[in-house]
Amino acid sequence: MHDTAQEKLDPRLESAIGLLREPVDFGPGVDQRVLQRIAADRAAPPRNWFAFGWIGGLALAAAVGYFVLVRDGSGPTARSHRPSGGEEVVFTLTAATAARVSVVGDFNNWDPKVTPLKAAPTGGRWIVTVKLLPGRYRFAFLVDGHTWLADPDHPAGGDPDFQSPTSVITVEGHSL
Amino acid sequence: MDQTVADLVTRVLEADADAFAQLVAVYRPQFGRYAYRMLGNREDAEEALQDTFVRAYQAIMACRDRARFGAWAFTILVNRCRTVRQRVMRRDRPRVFGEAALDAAAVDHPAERHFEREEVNRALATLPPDQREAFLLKHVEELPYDEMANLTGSSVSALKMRVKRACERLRRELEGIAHA
Repeated sequence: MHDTAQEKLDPRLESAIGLLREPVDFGPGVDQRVLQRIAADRAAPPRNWFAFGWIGGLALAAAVGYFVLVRDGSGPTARSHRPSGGEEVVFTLTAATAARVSVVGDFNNWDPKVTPLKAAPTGGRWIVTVKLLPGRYRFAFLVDGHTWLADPDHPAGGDPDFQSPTSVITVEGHSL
Repeated sequence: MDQTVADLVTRVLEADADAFAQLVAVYRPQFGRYAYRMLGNREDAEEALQDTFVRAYQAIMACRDRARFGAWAFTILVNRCRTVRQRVMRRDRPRVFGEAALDAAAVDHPAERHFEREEVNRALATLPPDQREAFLLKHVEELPYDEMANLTGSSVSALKMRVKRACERLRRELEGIAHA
């Protein structure tokens, strides 16, 4: 854990570091507040589906985004294009050996159970259509519950929090 | 410890909510201390802390090495602290060192120690954020440089320079306080 070549510190600095290592008291209930916030997030309907009924009529005019992942001999690679903006996005993945595939992202609270892809009868293709409100979403594919795939040809998520690759989709809005 | 943490992560993935509560209990003291030292007040620190655990819970599938959940979540914390700090700077909210957390700690310590603690926090607050971050990770959280590089996205050489400059500046600040 420690670097072997530890710098010799000034005694005053060492004393200060000792003080800074003291625990910080956040008062009672901090753990509970964290867990309550997680519970609240889980209880809320995924925010991008919530208002879709209201805006559903607009979806008739929605364009479709396509995300296509293809698999080559060296492992999964990806390419994508999205011809125009809209509220419907079709996610497809070609992964012949996969047992299950889901798409996870900001639109489903990164929950792999919410948006599973369905296997096409042939060709090893998986597909799901997701209705999204206009906005910017990070997403990734999850294959067999453990392989996390983003689209290297698509803008990276730009959020280093997760230490796993993510991509970004921007769904354009419609003028009322 | 690592086996226990890995087991807890596995249980979270199996939808055992109590397991995540145990992870919070394990890591909240370290994470809370870092957030507080980095952000300088309890309210912002708790916001960063909550954001971190919520994101970690949502994205726990992305934690590939379950035994290293803590290091993975710490990366989220470092980023959340940066985000919160940037927002605080935008709204120009004054940082308040020596607030309730320190007051509470002072109950068990003499007043002189409490004063010293306040001065150390004031000196820490004079560091530029990147130096404060590197100093805390190195000397308070006691992380090796390669892990710090992984957490921050900075090179080891850049981190060593920041730590060195932070130490020099802190030493000067603390000497100034001692001679004031």
